[in-house]
Amino acid sequence: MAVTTTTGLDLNTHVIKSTDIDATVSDDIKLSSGTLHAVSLSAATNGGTETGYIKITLTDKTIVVATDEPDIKFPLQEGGVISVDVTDASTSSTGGVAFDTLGVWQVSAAAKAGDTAIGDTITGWFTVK
Amino acid sequence: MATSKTTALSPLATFMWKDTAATTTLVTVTGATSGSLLQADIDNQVGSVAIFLKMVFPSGGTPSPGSTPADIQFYAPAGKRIIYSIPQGIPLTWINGSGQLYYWASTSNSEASSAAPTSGEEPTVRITMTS
Repeated sequence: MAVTTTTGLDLNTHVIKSTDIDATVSDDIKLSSGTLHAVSLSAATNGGTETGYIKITLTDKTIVVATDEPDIKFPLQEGGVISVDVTDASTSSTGGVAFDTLGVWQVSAAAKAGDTAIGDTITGWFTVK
Repeated sequence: MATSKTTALSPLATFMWKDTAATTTLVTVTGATSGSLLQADIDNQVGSVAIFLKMVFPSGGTPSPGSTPADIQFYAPAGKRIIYSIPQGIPLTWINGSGQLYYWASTSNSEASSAAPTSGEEPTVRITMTS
């Protein structure tokens, strides 16, 4: 999984673009702390009709995709696009979900729970402040 | 688990389910025969542990918390109210034409876990979707 990190409009915002999120590989998106504000994902169209799941796991160890469980998970249709905004409604000044106590972000995709591969390319943007 | 259903946010024709004690008990929402999930609002203010909201769109049979992996899982840290908004929604019908929605909450991120919050510390869950 190729991962690039760029700085967004907000100097405190890191936009992480991850291409080819493949469940057989689980490269780290390394963030010592941060708050998840938004997730935008698109699945490549390859002529297939399969549905996958995007999984976001925050952990201090390397993910074993087939066995480790995600913290956040939702379905992503073949050829589809989905975006999710995250708001912390318990505070007025900040939003998102803080994962300050966890060390390393990792992202994976799977065709179904416990599966190890989707066989397609998913491109994702994760906005973390 | 007490569940109430109201119609809100007209003219968006949005249904809201407010559950005051989302625990391991399976909730069946049969009114959503079509539509898309737009928002999941998890209020874990009274909880001392993190909560994972789990939803299942069954492809066959009734799911069983503790053994059926969730299709959607959202995380709310202890003491937080977290809102996940999906502007374009997650369409339900492509998962299951019957539109049945099942959800429960667990203190474990294991996709099939039904580990219950401590009694009296249940979160409030609001799920909004188009009709």
